[in-house]
Amino acid sequence: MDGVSVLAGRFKIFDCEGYMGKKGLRFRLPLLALVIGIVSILIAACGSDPTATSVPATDAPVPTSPPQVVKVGTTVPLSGSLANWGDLVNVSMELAFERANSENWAPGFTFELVTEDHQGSAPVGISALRKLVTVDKVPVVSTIFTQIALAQVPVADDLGVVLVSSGVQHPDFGKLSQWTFRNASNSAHNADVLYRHVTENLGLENPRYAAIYHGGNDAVRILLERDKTLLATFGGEMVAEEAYIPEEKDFRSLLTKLKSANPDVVHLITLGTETALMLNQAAEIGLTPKYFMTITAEGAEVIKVAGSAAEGLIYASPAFNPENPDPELQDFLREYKARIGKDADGFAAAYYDGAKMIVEAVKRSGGASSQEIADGMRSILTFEGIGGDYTFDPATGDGWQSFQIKSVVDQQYKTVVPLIAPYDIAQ
Amino acid sequence: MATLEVQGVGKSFGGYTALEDIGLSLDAGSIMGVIGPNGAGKSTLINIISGFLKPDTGTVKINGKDITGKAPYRVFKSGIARTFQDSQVFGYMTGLENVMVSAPWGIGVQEYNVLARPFAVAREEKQKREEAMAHLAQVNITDKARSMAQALSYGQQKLLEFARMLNSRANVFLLDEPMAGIHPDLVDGLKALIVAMAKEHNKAVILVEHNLKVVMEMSDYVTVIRNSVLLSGTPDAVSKDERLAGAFLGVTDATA
Amino acid sequence: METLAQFLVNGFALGGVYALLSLGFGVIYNTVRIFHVLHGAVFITAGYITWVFVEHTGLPLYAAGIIGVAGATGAGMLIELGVYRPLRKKAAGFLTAFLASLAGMFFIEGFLVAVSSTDLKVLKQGPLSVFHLGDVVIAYFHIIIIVVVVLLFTAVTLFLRSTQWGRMIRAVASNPELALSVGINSNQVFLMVFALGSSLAGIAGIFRAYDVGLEPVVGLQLAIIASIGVIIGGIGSLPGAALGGLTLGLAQTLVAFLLSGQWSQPVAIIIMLAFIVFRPYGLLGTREHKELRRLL
Ligand SMILES: Nc1ncnc2c1ncn2[C@@H]1O[C@H](COP(=O)(O)OP(=O)(O)O)[C@@H](O)[C@H]1O
Ligand SMILES: [Mg+2]
Repeated sequence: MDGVSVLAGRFKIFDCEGYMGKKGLRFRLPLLALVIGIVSILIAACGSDPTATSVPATDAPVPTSPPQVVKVGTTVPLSGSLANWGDLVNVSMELAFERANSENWAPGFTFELVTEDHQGSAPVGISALRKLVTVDKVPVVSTIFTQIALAQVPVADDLGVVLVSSGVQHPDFGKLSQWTFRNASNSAHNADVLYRHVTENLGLENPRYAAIYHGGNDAVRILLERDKTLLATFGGEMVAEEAYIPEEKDFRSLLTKLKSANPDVVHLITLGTETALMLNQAAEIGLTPKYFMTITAEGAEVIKVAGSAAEGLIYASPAFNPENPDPELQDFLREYKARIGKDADGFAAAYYDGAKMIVEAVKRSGGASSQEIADGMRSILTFEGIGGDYTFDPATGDGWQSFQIKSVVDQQYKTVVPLIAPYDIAQ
Repeated sequence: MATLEVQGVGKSFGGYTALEDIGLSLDAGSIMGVIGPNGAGKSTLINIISGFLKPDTGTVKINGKDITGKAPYRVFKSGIARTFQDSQVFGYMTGLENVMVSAPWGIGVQEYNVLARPFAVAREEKQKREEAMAHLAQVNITDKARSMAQALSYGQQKLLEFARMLNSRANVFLLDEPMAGIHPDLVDGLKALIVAMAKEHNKAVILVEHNLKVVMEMSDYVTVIRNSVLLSGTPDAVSKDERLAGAFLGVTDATA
Repeated sequence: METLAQFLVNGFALGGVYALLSLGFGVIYNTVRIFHVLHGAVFITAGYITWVFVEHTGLPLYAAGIIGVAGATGAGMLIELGVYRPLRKKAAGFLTAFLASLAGMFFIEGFLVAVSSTDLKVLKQGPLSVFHLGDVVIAYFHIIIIVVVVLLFTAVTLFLRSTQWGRMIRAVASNPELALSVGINSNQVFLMVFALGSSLAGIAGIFRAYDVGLEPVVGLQLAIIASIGVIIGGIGSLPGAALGGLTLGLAQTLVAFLLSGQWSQPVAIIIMLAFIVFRPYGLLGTREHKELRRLL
């Protein structure tokens, strides 16, 4: 689990470095597995309640033939400490399918969720995908966690099944196969938005940038490359790049060194815990540039640990706005809370939207084979969801989601730029 | 009641019977010489009395109190101190510390006093230091007080052991060949010291030696052992007994 | 030049905590001859206990800290009584004791993950308060660390040199069999040594928890650091252990400064290997070098 994408990117948390990268997790798995396993079975049982999937109103014309059932697979963690992510995906997608079925979004089709536990492990994720395709005959599968999704791509290619994700962060996920689609912005998009924000909204002329990054995995390297492209587009120079390892907690040397490079803006490709310590230690030595990063900034510890040092931290987040009065969104939020007991967040909304797009794809092609769903997906160029607006690149199947820029103000997360429409900066 | 009383002590190692039915008793102020050829079981006896070995049979009593098979540190606390045949010192402590360590008494032993009464502990330390220096002086090695024990010669280490034992406030001293390896010039002084311990300080001393002449000179009583007690009595009586020669039969160093 | 001075300040603060930890490890290792990996568990126990009291009872930090150190001391003694003493009774070897200790460390780590998650536990919010000396920034807290370490080192040295208990501990370390013959109960001495070493680790743990926070995995990591500190300082030498810890802190800081933070962990191992090959008796050790070769 360790080598996985780190990153940056608002779905960073999906990659679970902070949870899975640590030793000792295994000790917690058995403990929580049972409880959460039971809970999710109960939820799944409720979700597949036949009354929920039953058809139109009484005065509707009686259909000549029963609707075709489209089985949609998910590979998610259902056990262990990550099981809450499995619940998030399944409940969000179920809510979308229930609505699609009752409101007849794709006439002639009803949708049904089939879920498999990938246990947060790539090998298990692969066999889960195989089982869904060969045994359950699902034409489309939604997945979560970068390292598992990347391992599944060649298998999806082999089997010719559509692989959708609404959370995977790796910048190349969409490009990897004609069968992969994503309705989420990736970590590079996240950087795009932030560089643009620095240039256009903070009024810095040719700022001196620096990057602090964790480890040196593939996704981090792609992101550092992206920084260079963005500098070419927006101006400014990269004056320092400093790496650290997650075990390290004393960043004072690194920061002292960084201070002598005198940066104006620092791109933090870091995890929540270390971010807080870095901000503290930087404040101590008087290193106070602007910092920008991903939604990892909302990790539980950042404000708690960094306190005043977190003030002014900038980050990009999906433009999910729970205050929006849109009835579909409000219904979703209410139902989600009723089923899970927690408020839905941007991730949940994105999975709801991902399910909705599958319905839309079936509707557009009028068929539910993998090929028909893939063709349908490719024909969607823009999409308005409850989690924001999306645009898609038909060549790659990759999506852009609208962003907002947020910042820590008075020890709270505040939106500073409410909506940044999907767009692409540096093709 | 004798100060030290050993009764019916036996010990085997595997199938080999090193000691069988050993008995001896000793009073304060007297020296008991224990002699016998190499391998007779003299050191084994010392080890049993001092608690380093558990006897298979028999008892060891001090002032009537049974201490058979007690751990060595308990035996020490009941008033028995010993030296080792091959010199044993705390190599990485100074000469002075080697001596001071054998005084585990006073308020400094209660760890909380170190925090609660540091000055009282410091005063006690000073007293212990002076006492230890006096004992170093008794064996003429005050100049080694600050040297690491490990750096001393074999003979000096044996003298240091002696000083450590003198410092212990024990009533019974078990000396396992104390003269072996000591520089000839110092042997007489050491002999005088041992005699003085018994006569002036009223200690009960067991003196293990394989040198017959030395033992006869110094002891009040002599016990000859070779796995079991062959002879015992005053030096005069023992040296006249014709069985004495038999004890050392086949052993070359009998009177060396 | 200012940055070099700055790095020295940072290095002393980090090295101070390492020095305490190594000192505790050294006191235990030298006497009991046990590769006490659970030292790391004792270290985090203090931090976690303190954190729990500060977080959940609102106790002032110093009071919670005292409870934390007491908890660490108790934990160390319990480990001796519950793990090592039974093993010694069964005449278990060095390796068995080491493996038991390692297993115990993993167990504690897993336990902490289970009951309190992997979240970082920090005893304060926000940056440390600092003062400036020219261009060099110094945190008051780091001065406290350094002063406390110097005081504790002096106290431990005095304790071992000039109290009867100290001599008894050193006697057992030097010649356990002979120690028996001068009335020293080695089990009692071992317990004392665990109490002493563990309280030092506990203080280090609280320093760490206040400065950069604790998470379950740090236990093993810092137990390794502590042992490396002892090895490079010279097994058997307490000033060596403290100096070894300090050296490690400075080296890690320097490497992060000259190369990159990524090298701060490997450099500790590299330094240790260099010592084992070129100076196996460490910085100040003179005696146990043969043992070190045998050990590794
Ligand atoms: N721990 C032991 N294990 C086995 N044999 C021993 C042990 N100690 C002593 N012996 C044997 O017991 C016999 C008596 O030894 P020892 O008491 O040292 O003799 P002495 O001191 O009279 O020369 C010797 O044969 C010796 O080999
Ligand atoms: Mg002998």
